[in-house]
Amino acid sequence: MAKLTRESLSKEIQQLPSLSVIVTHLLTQLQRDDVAMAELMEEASHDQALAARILHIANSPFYGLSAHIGSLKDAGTMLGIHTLYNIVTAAGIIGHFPPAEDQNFDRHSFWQHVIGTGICARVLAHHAGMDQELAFTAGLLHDIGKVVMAVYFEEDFARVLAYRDEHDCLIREAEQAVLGFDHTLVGAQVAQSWKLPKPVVDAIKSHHSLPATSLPLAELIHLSDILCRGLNIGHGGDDLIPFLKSSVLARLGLNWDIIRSYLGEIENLNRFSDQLIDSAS
Amino acid sequence: MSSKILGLDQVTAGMTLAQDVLDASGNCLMVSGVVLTKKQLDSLSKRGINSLAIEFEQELSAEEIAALRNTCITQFEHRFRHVQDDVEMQQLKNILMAYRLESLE
Repeated sequence: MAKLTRESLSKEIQQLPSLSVIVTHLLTQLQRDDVAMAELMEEASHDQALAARILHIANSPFYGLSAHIGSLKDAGTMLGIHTLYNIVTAAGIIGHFPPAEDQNFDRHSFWQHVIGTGICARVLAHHAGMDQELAFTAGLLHDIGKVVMAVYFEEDFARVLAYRDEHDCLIREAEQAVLGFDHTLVGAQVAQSWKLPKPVVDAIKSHHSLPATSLPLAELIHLSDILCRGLNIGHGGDDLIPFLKSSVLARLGLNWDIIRSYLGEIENLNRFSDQLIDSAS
Repeated sequence: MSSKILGLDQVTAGMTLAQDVLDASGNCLMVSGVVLTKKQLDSLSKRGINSLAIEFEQELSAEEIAALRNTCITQFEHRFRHVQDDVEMQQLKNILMAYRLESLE
């Protein structure tokens, strides 16, 4: 088992299994008109394992479709290409990691937390006039460093979780105390090694420590993470709420009344996540 | 007989399920009418079920509603336990809690 240090981190990350070509394309494709999306889905249909998982999800009772969906093309038509994009990227990321039972870091709740953050970011991005798919992707991946540590650096992560339990602190504080760095650094390096778009890498890196300069996607994820924790959607590895940076709401053109008005929609859209996680794991 | 959708964290052992619980494939995990046990609730939670339809003999009594509200408030206080001195975080807590409590009214 490798032991993580700040110095060894980037070398260790280079040695991790790389993301599948199709999921990488999905995450890096920034042009998302209907034609480009349809091409991506055509590409996804060549990955049979992924395509089978997606069809399983699309045919689940949650979507309430009466006709059986037999192809990704049909799924795009029936569900809408943007819903399908969420499903495919989430299924691709979840399926990338070998499943495991860990009582101290429940993987299912973790995926609920990041999908919830992605959905929240997507809804608020729409209001703020930002790219919704990029917002979903950044939310989905904002804590990717945690699951990378849980899967590939098990012993280090176990020490982090023990520290968290002993000190009743945020998982990030435990990571900093035990390792000297936290999941935002791990996640940003993983995202870089996957060659993800810079705004997504920046959002992963800065969602807890926002820079003075404007970084709208990171600000959106900072807020969405906190809202999801507040609403108890999933579990990001601790049951505490980080401080909200006070300038964020105004910078995104939001206020509490606006946020309150979107909570129902966020929770409603989020109901799809349980079945997605079960099918994709 | 009436039913109400409750967040899983508000459901306690002894309550009666008002609707079947299905998994992603449409398989029935639990049938309506079951009196829920703690073990079943843990298992549903592990499967990622967030909310359940719960049967009530009649409209909830004022005491029962008060108990559900108290559970909800206790959970919010717990999650926000480290930020009690921060005005803005308290505002966030109050907004989210008011939203949650509305579903009990």
